[in-house]
Amino acid sequence: MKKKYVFMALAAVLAVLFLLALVIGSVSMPLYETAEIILSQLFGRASQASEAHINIIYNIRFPRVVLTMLTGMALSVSGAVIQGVYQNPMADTGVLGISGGASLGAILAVATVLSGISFLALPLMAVAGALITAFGVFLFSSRRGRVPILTLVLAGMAVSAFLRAMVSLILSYMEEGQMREYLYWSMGSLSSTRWEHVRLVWIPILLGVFYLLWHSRELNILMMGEEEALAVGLNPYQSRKRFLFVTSLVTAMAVCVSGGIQFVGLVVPHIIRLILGADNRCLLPACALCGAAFLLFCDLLARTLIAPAEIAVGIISAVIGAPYFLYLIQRDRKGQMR
Amino acid sequence: MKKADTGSENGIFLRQVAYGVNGREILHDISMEVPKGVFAGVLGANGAGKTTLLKCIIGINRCGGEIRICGRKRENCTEKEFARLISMMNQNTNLNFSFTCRQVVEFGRFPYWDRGLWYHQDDQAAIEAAMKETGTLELADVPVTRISGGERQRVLFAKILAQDTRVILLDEPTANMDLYYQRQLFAFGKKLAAQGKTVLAAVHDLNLALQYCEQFYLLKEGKLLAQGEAKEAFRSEVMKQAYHLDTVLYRNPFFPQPELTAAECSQELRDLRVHLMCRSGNVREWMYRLWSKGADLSAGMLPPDSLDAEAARIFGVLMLSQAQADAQLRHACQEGKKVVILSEGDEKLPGVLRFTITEAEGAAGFEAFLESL
Repeated sequence: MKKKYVFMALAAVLAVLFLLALVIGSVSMPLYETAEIILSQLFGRASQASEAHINIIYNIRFPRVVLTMLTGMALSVSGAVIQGVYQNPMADTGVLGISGGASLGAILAVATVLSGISFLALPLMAVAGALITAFGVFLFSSRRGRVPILTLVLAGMAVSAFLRAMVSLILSYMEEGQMREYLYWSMGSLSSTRWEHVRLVWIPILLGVFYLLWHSRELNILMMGEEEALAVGLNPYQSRKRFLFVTSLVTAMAVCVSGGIQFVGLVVPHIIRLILGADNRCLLPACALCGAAFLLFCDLLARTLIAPAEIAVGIISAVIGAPYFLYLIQRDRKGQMR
Repeated sequence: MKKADTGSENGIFLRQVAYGVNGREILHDISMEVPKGVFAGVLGANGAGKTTLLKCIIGINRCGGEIRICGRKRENCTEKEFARLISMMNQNTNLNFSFTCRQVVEFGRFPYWDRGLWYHQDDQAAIEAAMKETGTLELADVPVTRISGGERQRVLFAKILAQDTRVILLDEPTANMDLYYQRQLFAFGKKLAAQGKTVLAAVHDLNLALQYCEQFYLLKEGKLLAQGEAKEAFRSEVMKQAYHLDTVLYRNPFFPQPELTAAECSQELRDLRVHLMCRSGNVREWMYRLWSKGADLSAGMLPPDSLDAEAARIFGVLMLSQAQADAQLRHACQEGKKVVILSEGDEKLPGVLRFTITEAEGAAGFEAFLESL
C-alpha cells in the first residue's frame, strides 16, 4: 500500500515540475499561453503568440524539457541496474568506461570540426565512443563466457583513465573556441538541445528503459550472486551481458546529448531504495520517475539561478547530489541501514 | 521419448567426477550414487572438498565426469528445468541488499515463472507454506539485512522448500543456528527424504549427522574414502585418515542411532603402555581417559557381559590373560616404553610401575604420575 502512494507522489511531483519547467525560464509566460503554443504546434493549428515566443517555447524549451526527462530517467535507471549487476549500491555507469568513451568521441567530433557540420556529429560520435569502449572493456574481461565482476571494474577504470588522458591530450592542442565547446558539453548541459536530439535518442532510451523494467525480476536474482542465480535456474553470465549491453546503450544515448551529468545514477536509486526497498520491480520504475523529476529540478535551477545566463546542469546535479550523498552515507552509518 | 537413462532410480549419480582449478586438482575420480528418498551426509575435514563436490553436482562448477540428477544430465535440460530438479543452499549467500524475507523466499520460485513480473497464486501458496514450516512467516516483511544469522539461514531454507525440487543440496546448513533450529532443519531433511526426495548435506557436526542421516560419504583431499551406512563410513581407520583423530563409534544404550566420540589431538600418552586389572566402577573412565590421550591399553579378563567388557571392545582394548600380559609388558619395557599396571594387587614386575587406583592414595599417585609425563 505504501508503494502506491510513493508512486502517486512521484508522478505528481513530476507533473508539477514538468509544468514549471515549461513555464519558467528566461522568458516566462503564463501556463495558459504556454499550453496554447505547444498544443497548437502539436496539432498544426495557428497560434496567437508571436513567432519568437513560439520558437522559444516549442523549439527550444519543450524539447529541452522532454530531453531532460528522458536523460534523468535513463541515467537513474541505468545507475540502478549497474548497482544490481555489480551487487554494489555504490556502483555507477562510470565503471564501464562509458563516460570516458563518450568524452573521447565528443572531443574528436569537436576537434575534427565535424560538430560544426552537423548538430548530430557530436552526439553520434559520443555514442560510438561510449559503445565501443563499453564493449571493448566487456570483451576484454570475458573468459570462456564468464565475466568476473572485479575484472570488469578494474578494466573499466583503467580504460577510463587512459581515455581521459587522450581527451586531455587532444584538448591541449585545440583552439579556445573548440575547447569551450567541448568543455561546455563535458560539464553536462542541456542548453543547446533541440528536437533533433530528442529524435535521436527517445526511441533507444524508451525501449532500453522498458527492457530493463521488464527484466527487473532477473536483476533481483543477479543481486544475490552468481552461485545463487545458477541454483535457481538463471544463467548469470548471459543475463549480466544483456543488462550491461542495454545499460550501455541507454547511458550512451543519454550522455551523448547531455554530456557528463553526475550523481543522478548514484543518488536517485539510493534514495528510492531507502524508501521502497531493493526490489527492482518497484525500484526501476520509481527511479525512472524520480530521475526525470530530479533532473528537471536541476535544470530549472540551472536556467533560473543566474538568469538570463545559465549554469551547466551537471554542476547543479553535482552540487546537490554530492552533499546529499554524503549525508546519506552518514545516516547510513548511524542507522546501520542499507 | 527419451530412452531411459541409467541410474534413474538414483537421485544423484556421479561417475569419475573430477574438478580442478588453476591447474590444481581438487576432486579426484569421485563415483557415488545417492538413492532417492535418502537423507545423506557428506563428511570430511575443511578443505576436503565437500562444498566443491556439492557445487559440481548442481553445476556451479564445471567438472569432468558424468553427473546425473534423477537420471538426467545437466546438458540435456534448460536452466529452469534443471532448477526444478535440484536446488542448493549455499553457505555464504550475498544478502547485502534490503530485500524482504518474503522476496528472498520468492526467488526460490524463479524456475517456475514464465512470464510477467509478479508471482502467481500457486507460487504464493508455496511461499507461504515454506515460510510457515520454517517459522519465518512473521519475518516476511522484514528486510533480510536486519535479521540474525540463524534467522537468515532459516529464510534461505524456506527458499529451498519453496523451490520444491526432487534433489536438495545443503552446504553446512546449520552453521550459526540455535540447537532448536539445527534439529528442526535436520528433522526436515529426514521428512523430505521420507517424501521421496534426495537430500545431501555437507555436515560438520558428526553426531547430528549420525542422528538423522542414513548414508554417509567421507571425503579426504578430494577423494572419496568411504561411503555407506554409519558402520562402514565411520570406521576408525578411515576416520583417522580423514580427521587425523582416533574415533570410536558406539551404540549408546539409550538411543537407536550410534554416536561418535573422538580422542584428544595432543596424544601425550602415546608412549605409555597401560594394563588395567581392576574391577571397580571407574575402570571405564580410566579406559576412556587413557585412550583419548593415546595410551596403548590392555586389560585383564573382564566379565563377558559387563559394561567394562563392552567399553574394552569399543576402545579396542585387548583382554589378556596373566601370562600374555606379563609377556607383553616385559616386551614393552624392553622397547623402552613406560609401563604401568593399574590393579588392586601387589604383584611387582621389574621396570613396571603399579598403582592401585581404587584407593584414593593410589589414584592420586597415578594422577601425579600422569602429570609428570
